[in-house]
Amino acid sequence: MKAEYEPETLSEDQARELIDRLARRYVGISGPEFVRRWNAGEFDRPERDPRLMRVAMLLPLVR
Amino acid sequence: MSGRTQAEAVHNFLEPVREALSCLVVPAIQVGGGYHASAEPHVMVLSGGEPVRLDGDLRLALTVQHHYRVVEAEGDAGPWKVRSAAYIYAVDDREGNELLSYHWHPLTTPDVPFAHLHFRRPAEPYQQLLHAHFPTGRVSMERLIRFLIHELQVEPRRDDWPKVIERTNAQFEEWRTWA
Repeated sequence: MKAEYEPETLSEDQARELIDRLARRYVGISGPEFVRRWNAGEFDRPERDPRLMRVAMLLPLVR
Repeated sequence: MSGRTQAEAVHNFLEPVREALSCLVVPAIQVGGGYHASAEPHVMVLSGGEPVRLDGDLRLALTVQHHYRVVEAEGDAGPWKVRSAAYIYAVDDREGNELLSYHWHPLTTPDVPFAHLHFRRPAEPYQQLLHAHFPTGRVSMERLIRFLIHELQVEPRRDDWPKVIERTNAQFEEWRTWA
C-alpha cells in the first residue's frame, strides 16, 4: 500500500472541526451545539434519522 | 487482528480495511488517535466521515464510520487485539440522500443494540418501513463492497478486487468474535 495511504491521526482540533463540519452539513447546527443537544437527550429517537447518526458516530472523538 | 503491541494490533486491523476499501475508493482513512487501549472506543472514518463518490452509472457515494477498541487478547493471539465496537456503512444516491445503510451501534443507541439494515426507499404501502431496523448478522465491509459491485454496478478501482476482498474477508472472519 502506498505511503500516502497511511491512516491519518486526527488532532483534537481536527476532530472538533470534523464534527462541526458534519453537524452543519447533516443537521444544520454547529458541532458544539450538536454535542450539547446529544448529551442533553434533546434529539428524539435519533436512531430513526441517518443524518443524526452520522454525526453521533463521531462523538467519541471529543470525549 | 492481534499484535505484539497495541499499535501493531491497530495497524494489523487497519491494513486490511484500507486494502478492501481500495477496491472502490482512494482509501484515505482517519483515526482519532486510536492506537492504545482505552475505555472509550476509537473512531475510524473514511475521508473524514463524508460520502465518497463511487465509480459507476448510479453515481452512488459511500460513507464508512467504525468504532474499535484495543483489548488484551485471549489465548495464543496477541497479547493485544482490536475489537470492533460499532459501524455505519452507508450508501447515498446521486442526490446525496441515503439509499441504504448497515448499522451496528449498541452504545450510541442502546435501544437498538443489534446489527441492522436501513432501506430508505420503501414503496407504498410500506412507508412505515422507512425507519425500520431490519435485523442482520454482522456485515463486513467486504460483503458490502461485493454487494455494491455485483448488485449496484459500482465499478471497482482494481482488477484484483475479488482476490483482495476474499483475503481480507477471510482475515475478518478469522478474528471476529461474533457474527
